Amino acid sequence: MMAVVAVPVGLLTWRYFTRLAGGYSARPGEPAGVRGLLLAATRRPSGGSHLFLRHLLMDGILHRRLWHLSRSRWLAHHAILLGFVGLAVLSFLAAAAEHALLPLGLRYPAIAALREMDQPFLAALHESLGLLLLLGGLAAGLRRLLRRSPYLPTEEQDAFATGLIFLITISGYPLESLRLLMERVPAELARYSFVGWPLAQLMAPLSLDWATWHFWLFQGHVVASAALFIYWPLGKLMHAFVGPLAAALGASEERPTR
Amino acid sequence: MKRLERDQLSLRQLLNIEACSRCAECVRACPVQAATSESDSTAMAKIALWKRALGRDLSPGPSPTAGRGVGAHSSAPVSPFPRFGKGAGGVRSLFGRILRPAPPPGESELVDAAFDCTLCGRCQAVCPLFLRTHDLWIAQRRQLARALIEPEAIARLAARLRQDGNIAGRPQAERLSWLGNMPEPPAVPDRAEVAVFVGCVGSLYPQAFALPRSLVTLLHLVGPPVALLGQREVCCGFPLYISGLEEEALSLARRNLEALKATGARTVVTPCPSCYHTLSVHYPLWLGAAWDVRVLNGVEYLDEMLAALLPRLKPLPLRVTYHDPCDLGRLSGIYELPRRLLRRIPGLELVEMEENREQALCCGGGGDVEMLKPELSQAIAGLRLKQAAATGAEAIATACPQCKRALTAAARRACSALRTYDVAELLLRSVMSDA
Repeated sequence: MMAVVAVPVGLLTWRYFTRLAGGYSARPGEPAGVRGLLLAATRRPSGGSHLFLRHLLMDGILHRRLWHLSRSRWLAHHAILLGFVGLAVLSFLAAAAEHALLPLGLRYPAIAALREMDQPFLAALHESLGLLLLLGGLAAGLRRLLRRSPYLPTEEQDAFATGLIFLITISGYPLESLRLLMERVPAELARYSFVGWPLAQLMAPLSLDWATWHFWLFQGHVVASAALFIYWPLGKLMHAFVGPLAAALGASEERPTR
Repeated sequence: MKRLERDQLSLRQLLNIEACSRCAECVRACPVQAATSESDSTAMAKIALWKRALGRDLSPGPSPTAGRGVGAHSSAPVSPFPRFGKGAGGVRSLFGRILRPAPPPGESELVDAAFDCTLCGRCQAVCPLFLRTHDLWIAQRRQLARALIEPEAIARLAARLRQDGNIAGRPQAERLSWLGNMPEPPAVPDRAEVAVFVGCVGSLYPQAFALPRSLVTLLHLVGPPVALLGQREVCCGFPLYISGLEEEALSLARRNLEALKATGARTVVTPCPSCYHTLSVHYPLWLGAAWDVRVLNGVEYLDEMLAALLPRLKPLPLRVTYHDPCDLGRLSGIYELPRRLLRRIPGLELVEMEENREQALCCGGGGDVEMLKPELSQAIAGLRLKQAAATGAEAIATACPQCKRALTAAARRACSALRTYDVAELLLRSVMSDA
């Protein structure tokens, strides 16, 4: 499944950056295209690297200007950002522990715990990040759908991307409930999944074949995740990668006022 | 078929296009949107339009999707975006539309979007991602010029500048009309350490004559005499540069360099923010080391002369609101200097408009819009005038001949008593005051 996702993601990302590089006009005497892009990327930014890095943090990631423009938008944006990045990092660490670090013989308790879904801290962290993502998405959705601002068009691609994110996040909780039921996780550990466990208790009287349900919901969750990652370079979500860079460059060029 | 190629834009410009998250902060800030409720030329719309256009054959007319957005035939804002939930076709069609690129825009759609813009830079000032939109809009216009799909009026402007050397299409001999009509014109030397570059608007449009008159009179009162470029001065090239005709602007820059050399000046002072930006930012790039002069805006030079000016200032009881010119404020970062000068005038009360400094609304006179779409320019000026009137001020102060023209004309149309003065004009009135 990972290969099925990785190949199209890799191809699309490569296509995206070569398209960007194709438009790169080199300085006189410098190569254009991909080579020129790499050269430009390694060039020391004007104003110094420390200034660039400061603006990358303050304006590219923390979005200082958005904070001044709208606190509610800032909160919604950063809830989504933190939730999404946090979950992605946890998933990456779990996969790295499972497939790379442990097979290499790095059998430290901290590494082993990364793939342990019932570890209390990680279970609570997973649920909290998911909740953050859901709340942020809900706030963003309400802004678009309820306020119906004439200034803010909701394109089909916006609805498609936010719909996928919602699907992935919302399916995470029943998936966790099904896992708790399937693996018969004891209540003293399961309770750290503070959304998944109450949901599992609600589902328990249904007495279904938990393993089958878990298998199919997991497949759906993975397919939706794969679809999102494949779609990523095609739509506005690409701003998540190029936006911080553009913001850092733009902010470091702001002129002092007199 | 005409095309706009990706390699006509720099990597940085392409990055800015890709980075736009369509958050719509720029739509709220756009003066064109505020004046017309049309969002086709907002930053967000222009970026989306260019994404569709780059590297594809353009159709000569408007594209099939032009104006299909919500409110296309109503007073509601028009959106160039395919809206969610609009149009039939079901899920399969939805996926098709998401994965297939939208048809390329038509030439007229691109021209309207690119030129229905005052280049005020307010979208850049509010963009949470700090996208360099001002630079991008000029690059887009340059692409249109290269593809020969610029508006007819721009071609006429270029021809006029080639032939006459000024935007008004008047004989160069009239460049010093403002000086000739003064009751007591100061003696202007041919050569001096400091020269004044008046600019086309201050030289050739009577509504703006008060600017060079006030500036030159003040400078002669408090400092060494300044030289004028006079008939040798030609347009700085700013109108051509912002229309995408940078190469033509370069030839004007060379002529101005020769004119300045003839005065022997090492410092050039200009009351026009657009000339100031061109002379201080673009001339060093275009002319290289040959352009080794210090460039100052009129308010900067007056600020330097403040110590000599202060003892001469007499009370001028007037409630004034200051309008930030886009090219002096957002483009050059000068917000406080003119305010500081105004506050030094005894008796003058300075009140701020709700939208000021980086957030100031444009006067509508920039970006060649006054020439291409006068009604749009007037509508924006009307909005700014209302903001000024809401402060209860008796007059508007500004530091730009074009803003003075636009706001004066707006006040006349609205039968408003609000008069617009340049900062130098108010300083001179204070110096000459009998109070």
